[in-house]
Amino acid sequence: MHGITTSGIATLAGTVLFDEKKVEYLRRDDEAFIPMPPWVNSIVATALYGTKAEVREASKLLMDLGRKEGGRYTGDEMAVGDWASRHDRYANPLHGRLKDGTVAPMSWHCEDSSTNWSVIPKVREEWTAIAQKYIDRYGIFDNWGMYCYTSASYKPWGDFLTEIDIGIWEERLDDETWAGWVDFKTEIAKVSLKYGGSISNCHGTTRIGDAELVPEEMGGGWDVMLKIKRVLDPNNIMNPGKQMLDQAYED
Amino acid sequence: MRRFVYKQEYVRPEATRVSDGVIIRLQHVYEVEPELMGKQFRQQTMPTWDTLRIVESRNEHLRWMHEHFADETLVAGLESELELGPGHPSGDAYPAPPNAPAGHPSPILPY
Repeated sequence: MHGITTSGIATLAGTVLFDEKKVEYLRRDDEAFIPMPPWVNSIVATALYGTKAEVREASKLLMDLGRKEGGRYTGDEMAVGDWASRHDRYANPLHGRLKDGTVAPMSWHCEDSSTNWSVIPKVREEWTAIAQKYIDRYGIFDNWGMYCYTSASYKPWGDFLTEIDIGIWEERLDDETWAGWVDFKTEIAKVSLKYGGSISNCHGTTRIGDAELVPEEMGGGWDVMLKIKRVLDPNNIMNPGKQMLDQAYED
Repeated sequence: MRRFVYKQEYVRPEATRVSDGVIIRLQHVYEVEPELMGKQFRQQTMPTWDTLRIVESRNEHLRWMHEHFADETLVAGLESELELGPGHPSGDAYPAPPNAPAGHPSPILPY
């Protein structure tokens, strides 16, 4: 994947990596993944923008780079489905699986960070272990796998939006399991910070469990943010109580 | 036009297992293994015409999207990988890859 993202091909708009857990999850009921042979463990997908002549030649170069790393063409179904709002796979409430493999209605929660590509293997390893720990302990969570894609906020090859998708059987949430979910989120966010990632990059951190860690990520920038909030909103009428910004008014 | 016979519609076509946890009864229509579905959900008998209606409705949506998104599809596979058409790679495309694992570089840790 790194070879593709650093290829310098100008038509390359983005690259996505689906990890083994994500492929395993999609094999449950996604028509693009069910027929894939057993040796397919992970997927690298790319999006190219440009004229037909540009994209056609660029795709040949990218596929050659993938083949040199042991990759193989897996067909066009994934691309075709993604054109047509494949995002519905995350809204499918039947994707959830319990520890015994049976189906339970779950909803989709994503935890993500902006992560340097070089630490993605470590982040993946630790996030996956955390997920398994909470799945085993509470029985209402499910690991729907990880994917990471170039976010291009700094350099297209350096900065990846790294995400783990968690299914939650919300009907079974109670005080104990909700506290477990909050701890789950906190552990995930702490791994991001440990490896120098940003937890406020994509879906953001405005909820209990990770919002408390934003000052740690921002360092001295947090004090600047408090000062800006107080200058722009002296009466604290904009989202009072949100994101711990009430701290701006404490003195 | 297909003749509608009420009793026939409630006889589900025989299932064929296509992978772990997935079966197929109608061409190109995948279903989650019924054994996995019944524990947390009450199951209902579904007539074949209703399954076909839902599938066709989704396919109509997909066709519309494809027609309005692009008027041509470029496929990235090699000729040998495409001999059965896009989305149906040949046997050459699916053999187990040689043992050529992508080499992960050493992580650059921020501490």
